[in-house]
Amino acid sequence: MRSEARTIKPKKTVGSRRSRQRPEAVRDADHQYFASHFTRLVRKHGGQWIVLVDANLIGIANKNRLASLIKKARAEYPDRIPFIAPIPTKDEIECVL
Amino acid sequence: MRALTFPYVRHGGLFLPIIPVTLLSQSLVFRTDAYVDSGAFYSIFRAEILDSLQLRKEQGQVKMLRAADGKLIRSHLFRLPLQIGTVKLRALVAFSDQLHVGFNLLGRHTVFSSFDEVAFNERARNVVFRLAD
Repeated sequence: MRSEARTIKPKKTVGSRRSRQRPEAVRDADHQYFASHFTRLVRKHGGQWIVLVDANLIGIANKNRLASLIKKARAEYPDRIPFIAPIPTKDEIECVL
Repeated sequence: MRALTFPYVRHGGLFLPIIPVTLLSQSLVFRTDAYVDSGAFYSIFRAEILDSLQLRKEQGQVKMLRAADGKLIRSHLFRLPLQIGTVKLRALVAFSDQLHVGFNLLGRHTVFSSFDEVAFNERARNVVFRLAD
């Protein structure tokens, strides 16, 4: 008895617009440093500011000492762009969520 | 189609859409991190950053913004060149010292609209900015 069942071959799929997009994972050494140390920074330095250049820690300080840290970063690495970011406190993270 | 992918920043069991952003003024440039906030209309950065850009508050347009808790916060609006990944845009950024959230916030106005799509992938734990070529 001949089987009526037939195997249906899946249609060839052409890459969707989204799968054709060029992936561009963004690499940033300072952001990587900030992200990988984030929990420790929040725990120990929440409320302060961090200044980095090429993943080198220039310093962590309160906002009244931020200007001197930036000056130090620009003096030590005159050709590089410094990374300056506030470190949130644990409460502030919960607040924004 | 170009896509800039930023992994979430982990904090304990939380995963936060924090991305690197480059800010420019006429003479200075520096990088910082900002929380991508689809619920925020304006991008709001910490007022201390104005000093880092050697800009004076008075140069910006005063704007009262209503925060999520209903309080009005005084801010100063600037239109500044901003870079996300490799994409440069001019964004309207508010600076305020009254927003006590501990982050710079990247809102929708002139930032999200510079891209074709901004997608939060909670399972993949990343945020993707897509732009047509």
